[in-house]
Amino acid sequence: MSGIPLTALLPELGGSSRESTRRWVSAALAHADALSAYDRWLYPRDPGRQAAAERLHEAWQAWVDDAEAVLRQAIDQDIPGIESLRDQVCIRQGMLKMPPALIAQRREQVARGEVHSMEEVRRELRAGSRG
Amino acid sequence: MSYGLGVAGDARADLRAMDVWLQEDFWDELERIAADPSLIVEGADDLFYSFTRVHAGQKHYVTMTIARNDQNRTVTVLGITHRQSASP
Repeated sequence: MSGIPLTALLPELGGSSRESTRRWVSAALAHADALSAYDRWLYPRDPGRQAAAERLHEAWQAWVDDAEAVLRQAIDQDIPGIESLRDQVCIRQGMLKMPPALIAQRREQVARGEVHSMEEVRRELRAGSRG
Repeated sequence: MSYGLGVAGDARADLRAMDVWLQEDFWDELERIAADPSLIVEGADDLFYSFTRVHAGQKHYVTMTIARNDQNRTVTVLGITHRQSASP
């Protein structure tokens, strides 16, 4: 959003007005919206596009760090969009736990035939939860 | 027409880490996708998909990476993550 990590900047600036926090929330959501236009580039099958995918994940990591700083700033304030921002942060944190290299390994697993039907996995998990 | 559903070998461990009730919701969501693959974008690459559930005062976020294969008519889950936060 700013080029400077908000995790460092916002605490240094001290208490923010409701209006400035509202603007940060709005800016964070707009930034996420712009990045999400590239969601199809997150997990490319073409190895030549892996490096770009890694950078896209890095951009999302920077966004999550900034958005968390905004959420801390907005704590206990009723700001429009704050719930959407929290949702996006949680969803993208989940996504970031699946980096392109990990998904490439899983794709190779599937190509080697290491894939299980839904029924098979469901049975296995149900048996495990009973045991 | 519905697509066949598969789970990559190591993605089973991702599922095991989730509560049983959420695993069941995961299957329901997956069956919804298999019945209507247009819910996930068609393309040459693998896709990112998420859904949320509210349960016992917590909001649960399930994120998965899915491979859609229109030739074989399959949807394969490559990875699953789960996060939760207090529901407002």
